[in-house]
Amino acid sequence: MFARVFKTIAITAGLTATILGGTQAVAKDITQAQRLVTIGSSTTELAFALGAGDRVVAVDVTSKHPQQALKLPKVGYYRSLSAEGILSMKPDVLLGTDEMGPPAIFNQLQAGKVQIEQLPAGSDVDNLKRRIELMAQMFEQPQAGQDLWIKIDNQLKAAAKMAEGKRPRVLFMLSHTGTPMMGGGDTEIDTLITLAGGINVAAEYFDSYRQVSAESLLTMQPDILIVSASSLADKSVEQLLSVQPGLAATPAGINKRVEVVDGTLLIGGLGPRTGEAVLELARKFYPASPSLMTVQAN
Amino acid sequence: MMDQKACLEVAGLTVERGGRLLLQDISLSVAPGEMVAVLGPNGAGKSTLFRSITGEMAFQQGLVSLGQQAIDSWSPLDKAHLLGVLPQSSTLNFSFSVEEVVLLGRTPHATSNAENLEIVTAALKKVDALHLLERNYTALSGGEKQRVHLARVLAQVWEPSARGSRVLLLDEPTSALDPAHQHLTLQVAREFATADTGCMVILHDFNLAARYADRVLVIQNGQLVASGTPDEVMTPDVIHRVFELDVVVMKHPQHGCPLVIT
Amino acid sequence: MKRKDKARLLLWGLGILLPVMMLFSIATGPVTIPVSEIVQVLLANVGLAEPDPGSRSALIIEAIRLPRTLLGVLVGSTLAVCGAAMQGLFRNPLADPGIIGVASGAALGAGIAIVLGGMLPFTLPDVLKAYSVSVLAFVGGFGATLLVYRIGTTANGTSVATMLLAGIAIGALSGAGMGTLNYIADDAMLRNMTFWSMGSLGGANWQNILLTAPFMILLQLLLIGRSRGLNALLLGESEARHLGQNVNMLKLQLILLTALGVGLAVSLAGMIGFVGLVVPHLVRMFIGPDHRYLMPASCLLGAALLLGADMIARVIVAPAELPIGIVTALLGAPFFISLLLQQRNRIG
Repeated sequence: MFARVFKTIAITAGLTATILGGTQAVAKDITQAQRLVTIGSSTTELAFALGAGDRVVAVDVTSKHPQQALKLPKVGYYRSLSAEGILSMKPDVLLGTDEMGPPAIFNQLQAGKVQIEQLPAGSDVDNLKRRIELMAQMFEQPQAGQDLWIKIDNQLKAAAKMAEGKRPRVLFMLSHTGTPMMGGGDTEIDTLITLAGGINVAAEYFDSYRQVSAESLLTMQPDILIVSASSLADKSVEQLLSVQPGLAATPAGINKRVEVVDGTLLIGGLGPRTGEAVLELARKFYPASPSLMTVQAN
Repeated sequence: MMDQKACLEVAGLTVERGGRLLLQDISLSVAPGEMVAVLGPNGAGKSTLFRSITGEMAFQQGLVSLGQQAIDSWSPLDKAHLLGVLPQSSTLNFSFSVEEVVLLGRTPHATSNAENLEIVTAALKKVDALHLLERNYTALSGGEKQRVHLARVLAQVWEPSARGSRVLLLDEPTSALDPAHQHLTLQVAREFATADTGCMVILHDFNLAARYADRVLVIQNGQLVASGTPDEVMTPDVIHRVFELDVVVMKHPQHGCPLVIT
Repeated sequence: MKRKDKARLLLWGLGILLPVMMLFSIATGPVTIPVSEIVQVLLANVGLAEPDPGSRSALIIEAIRLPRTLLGVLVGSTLAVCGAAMQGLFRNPLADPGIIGVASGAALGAGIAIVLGGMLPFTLPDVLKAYSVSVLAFVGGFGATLLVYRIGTTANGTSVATMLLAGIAIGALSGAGMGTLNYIADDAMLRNMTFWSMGSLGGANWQNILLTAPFMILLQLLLIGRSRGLNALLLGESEARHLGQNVNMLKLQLILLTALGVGLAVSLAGMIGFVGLVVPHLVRMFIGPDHRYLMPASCLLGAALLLGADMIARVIVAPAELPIGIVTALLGAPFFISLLLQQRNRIG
């Protein structure tokens, strides 16, 4: 009686122990894997950039690039995945970062013979490089990985060359409705601003995203304000500035220097588009830079 | 003072609340087979006395005994077999059926369900409420509710107990009743006060007390001011002193008890 | 008499409905498994058929749907029985199991685990680390209830009214704590807290089922065993005392059992609203307030309803999944309102 149930229990208990033991990001060969579910925007983008796009059968809701990913079935938000929902896509591999969850689903998925690959999550360039390497190894596409990294690295180097003179003080504001949040240190936007030669002023005060009072904005004195495309929506820059009275009095507000970035670049880690994004920011930070001409060479 | 036969005895009861003396050195006893009525104006301390006896109110001095034994030394369950308490009003607002409400009176007993239902039927019949059996309690009138609760208390102390003599405590059981049911209720109480059941009832109506009680106690300002048979207590003098009411007292032409005419 | 027959009938009906719902729950999911295979797997599990090792259907049923169904039964029945007990204790049909602070305390505990997880002043044993949210939710819920009970208890006994107010105050305090945690939390933690607060049966596995099922079943049996006492309590505390109930002991037992039960349910499945409130209310409308029938019927109906809600949560946005708290509120609230309207019309 119930022998099989208890066998399953034994298996899941064993698996739990393995999982509790910690998952090391060791690249395993998943070349044979025909069906991939990629979790996290950056993971999905990298899978497509490394030529595995045709094997991706489902993604999470944050995966909005490239276009092909939008058409795939969505298995939910990357922190609240459903084991059976993923199983219903009959994947061979679930590929994401160690931010995906809840952890409870992993042993269920493994019982369903789904291989789980968790890449280290992070918001810096080293992390991006590491993940490109790992994924390229998994797909046995070392050349594609190298090419991708070289391309990004060249874009970053080009952006770095553009920086000259005083580095602009930059503030990123996330504001859909109500009180805006500012992007502090240890965020994707912080990395982008820094790589593009700016100073993320909010990072001097805090990590991650925080609300900031109108008065504090004045002490931060940003030269450039960045907003996400969705924050701006159909508002004009003037409307945006009028919402936050503190902003209008900062150099950014006075000179109306408000730049827009694509919000999908800013969650779930850096991805293949990071190089372009940094380059574009650098152009905005240093509009007079002579290096601008040579950028397209790559 | 100590009455060996008393089933309920109160000795030297003193209750103080917030510096106010609510009851002062009250002593009384109820013997099996006896029906004792407690009279007194509003605020005299009748309900305080009642609640001190049932254990809902702590007292500073004195002793309350049930069947020769201090009342708080009884286990709750044993006490429930002997002491039936009918409060002035009930807060029950769940839509039990009348049968279920009366059945609650059988909570302390381990008797069979069939037996319990028999007792419930008999108790309801006694208070002229058998026709309400399947009605929703919350939809009853105040008087009907009062009779249903009386039936519940009767069902609780329905059968003699090996633990001792039973006691019925009724706090103004007639307040919401029409005259016919007022008499019915007291007749039932009277009937219950047999060989091994004593009954103490708080009343407002002089004539009900005079007609059904063996003894009448009068309380004023927390003190026992008169005690004795209805004939001894129900005098124009006592009533004038305690209730500030001028009355004529005559002999009831049919029952022979005092008849108080206001 | 009529009502008792109705109650018996309802208990029988629910006794049949629950296994049926369990079978449906096992048969429903984003992965389509033919009925024949489900029957085969179930029969194999009780030794009546030849097992087919390594079949994907068997794994899905055994590792995912079976534990999830059992968790739904445990959580749904516990919430409903605890809700019935609290409605009885507070003599208020609108009380819910969270009234004694257990839900708000659990939320705070879970929030602390999610936000401050890394920097707690103590370390959990390794076994519990993966369950830190569950453990702290349970500790928070139980602790809050003990506090509420302490505030409501004096030498003269426990005042239910004071406890009610203390529950509100503790709820407000927990709310302030949650607000602070929200402020400290980063985006990821915020999402985790939000998802936790909407509940899910997705965390079901054999480990936590085997670990908690004996307790949850025992708690429910003990609560159901308090039915006569609860009936007496409905008359009022003094009357219950006159009926031979040790009222203070009874209150303490009800509160402890409910705090343990809801604490366990919340720690396993997050916050799932409305089951504890609606189910006993619903049962009472059919068979009246007699707890001897109300408690077991709530137990069965709570389990069946939560399974139904979970099936919807699993299938409606598949392959993604809706938090179950959304489903119970979305179904429960309008249903509850319609019942209230009907009742209002009946009273006039």
